[in-house]
Amino acid sequence: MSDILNLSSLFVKDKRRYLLRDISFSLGEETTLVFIGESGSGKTMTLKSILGILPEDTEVEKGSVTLMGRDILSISEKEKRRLLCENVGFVPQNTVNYLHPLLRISDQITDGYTTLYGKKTLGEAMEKATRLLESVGITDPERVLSSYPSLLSGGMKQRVNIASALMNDPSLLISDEPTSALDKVVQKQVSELYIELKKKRRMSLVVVSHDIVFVKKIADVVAVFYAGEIVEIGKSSEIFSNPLHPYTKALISLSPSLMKDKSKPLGEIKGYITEEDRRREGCPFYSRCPERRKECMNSVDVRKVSETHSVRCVL
Amino acid sequence: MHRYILKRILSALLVLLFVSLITFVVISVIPGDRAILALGIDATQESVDAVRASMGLDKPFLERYFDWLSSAIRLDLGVSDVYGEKVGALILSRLPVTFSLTLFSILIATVLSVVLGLICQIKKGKLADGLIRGSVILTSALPSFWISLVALIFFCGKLKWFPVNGYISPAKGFFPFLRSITLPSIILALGELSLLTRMFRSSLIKSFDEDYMIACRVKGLGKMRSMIHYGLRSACIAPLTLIGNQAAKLLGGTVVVETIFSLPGIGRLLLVAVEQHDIPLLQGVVLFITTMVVLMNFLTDIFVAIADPLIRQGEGSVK
Amino acid sequence: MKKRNYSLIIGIICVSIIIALFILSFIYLPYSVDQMDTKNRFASPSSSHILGTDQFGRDIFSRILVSTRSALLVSSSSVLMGALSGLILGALAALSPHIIETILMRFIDAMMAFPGILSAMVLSAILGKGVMNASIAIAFFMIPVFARLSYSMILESKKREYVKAAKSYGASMPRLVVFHMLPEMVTRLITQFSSSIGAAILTESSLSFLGLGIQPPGASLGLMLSEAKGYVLIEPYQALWPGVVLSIAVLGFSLLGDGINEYLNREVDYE
Repeated sequence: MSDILNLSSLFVKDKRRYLLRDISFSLGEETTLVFIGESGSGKTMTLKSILGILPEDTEVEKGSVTLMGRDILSISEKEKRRLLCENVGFVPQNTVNYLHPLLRISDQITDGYTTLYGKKTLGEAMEKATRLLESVGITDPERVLSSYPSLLSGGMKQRVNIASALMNDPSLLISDEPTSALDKVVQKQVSELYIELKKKRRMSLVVVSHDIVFVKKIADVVAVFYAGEIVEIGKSSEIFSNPLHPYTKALISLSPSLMKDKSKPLGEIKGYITEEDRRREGCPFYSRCPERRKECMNSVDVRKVSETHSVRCVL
Repeated sequence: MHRYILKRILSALLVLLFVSLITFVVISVIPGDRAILALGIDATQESVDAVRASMGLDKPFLERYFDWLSSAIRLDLGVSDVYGEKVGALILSRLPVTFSLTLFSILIATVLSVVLGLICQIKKGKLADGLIRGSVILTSALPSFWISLVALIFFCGKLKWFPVNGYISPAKGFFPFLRSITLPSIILALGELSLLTRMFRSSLIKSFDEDYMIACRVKGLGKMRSMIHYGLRSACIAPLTLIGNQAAKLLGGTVVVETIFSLPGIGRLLLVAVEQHDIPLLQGVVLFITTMVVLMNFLTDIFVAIADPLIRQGEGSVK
Repeated sequence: MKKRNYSLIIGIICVSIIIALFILSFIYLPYSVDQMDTKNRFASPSSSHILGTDQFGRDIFSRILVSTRSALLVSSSSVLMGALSGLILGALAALSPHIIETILMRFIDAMMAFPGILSAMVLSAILGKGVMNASIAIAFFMIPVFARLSYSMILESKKREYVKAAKSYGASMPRLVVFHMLPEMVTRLITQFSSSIGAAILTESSLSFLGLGIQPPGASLGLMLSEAKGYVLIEPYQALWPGVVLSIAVLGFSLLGDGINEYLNREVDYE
């Protein structure tokens, strides 16, 4: 079985500091990988590296990103576009202008397809878009197709984005917090939609999420990010039943649905990721870690717990 | 949308009413008695009175205004004192020159500023960006009549690329006409360049920063397609209004260039009217130009509203 | 990362040159404006005429010096007049009840419909030619610009929280305008003021170029260029320096406006 995606010791930095340090993982076919971790821990940056859309002032210092067997950092812009067009779908956070405000949905949802298969396939593309919109829970696809984004609600737009990402039957669907900035009910619907997609479609998923309940339902593999590093990665069952890194433990204990005793107040991880944490040679979680030791100040290596489970901690 | 257009029509009409009022009031206070001007200083009192009556100058002010306005609405602007011809006909005969000057210069300015704005966007913060921004500011600050003189010296005097003087009507051949109008159009366009390029630059930068450009990259769309179909589209709306306004302003601003290049346009007519105190001609020309300005601004607003679905669907923040 | 404020630097340099010429015109004027030296027509630059002479043998340098006087006087007085009446008009519109506000704003729109050079030309026909009348004529087209400025500024600051707060403890409207809104307006006013002076200098010289502004034997850059126009193909040199000085003046004031705007906005950002 070949890997869909493979990152090996990827370092990304901007002018002042590292944004990602030593990110490595690989993703097989029909596997769902979920990134968890607090804001600014490098989850979105990792997605951007995979898609080759890093911001202008950042650069990859070393490491490689291999997508469908191709090294995305070294191929030409044109080849990269082709590769993404053919194999990858991307669902963004619910942002205002991911859909162009002055273009009809029909234009925007079909142009990935027509880029791949040629201008003449517009008819096919429209049919496919209609089917896909229906499958993501839109009851009146014709009306949606002929509207401008400003007429659609946040939830509708997100469904359109999902349908749009699925147009070219990607082998990999990448989603950056697809349910954030939506209201509770819609959040639940979109989460369910993802679980359904995972079941029905033969593709791999990379999802960033803050919703632990959703993560438990959908994830095959979970990667825990902290300050630009993956501090722990393993099968979902391994991470949730046997968390090793103190940060993972703290993060999981925050989730209300995981707490047996509902009368106890929610825990919290004190403090935040400081600039100093990002620069430190040793463990970035040191200053907040309840179980810190002296040797944490030195650089910490990844320790393999099982074939699938590894952790970056001295414990 | 319909409500928006209706509102816009009403406010344009109100503005036009004020424009006509200002025009009439301001120009009526020009010193000198038109009747005496027409007859000479040694005319008898009776003949002066008779001429005054025939010109309608003996009526009360408001009545004169409404008379003038109602005939102006019927496109009758009276008869010029200097030329003895109908003002409307005079304006119409001069219109093609000014109109083509305006059209050409705004076309040149728009195309140039889109190209320059795009280069600035692509090379943002680099040397090319700074050079372009600096030079458009410079070209727009140079007074048009001075550039005209310099251009006359070089292109007409030394290089003899363009005719020194005069306008050749399109009836006598399209290319000679184009040649006679190119240099003045370019000079007028230079004046517009700074404002338009800056506008295009900033709205292009804003547009290319939006998430939909990321969508293009992720979907794997071609570079040209994402630039033109996605990037340029929303970057054009803000400059569109500006182009409309500037085109309208140019209509009344061609007088200097017309004078230098001896082009028989509306500006020259205006200059004659001012110098000779030809009141009907002056009122007519001023009313014509200002009406065109109001009309252009109105049409631009409507056009922008059609181009921008946010306004079209009545969801935008149109007040 | 600090970016150089080139607009401000170049603007200050250009404006300083013009002001230096203006001051020089009072302390050292080689020849009087209309002193003709008919033997020395179209003279090339020499030690006696450093920029040469025009078609009447008048010293070009002296005429440029005196021209900066009329340029600065006409532009600053017209901008002052226009700004003052415009600001009052705009403030009036912003603080009036809705119907009067609409009518006033449409009136301002109507004034906007007169392109600058057009209204200046028409007014010079009414008022007659000359320095004072040129100032008034140019002031007229400054009015709507400043009126819109004060109108929009007042509307914006009306929405601000501290104004609401001041109103709730009973501060009167004029007091609000002077003590709370005015400081905010100063930045934008200074910017507008500087670039308006540039525009006014341009209009004055255009007007004089068309023969409707400053009259011979007075001196204005526009007038000088107009006189040079007749000989431009034979004696192109005569048109050079008045144009250069005029360009420096127009460029200087408009860049100064941009530069000040950039500078003050940055200050605000740091707060």
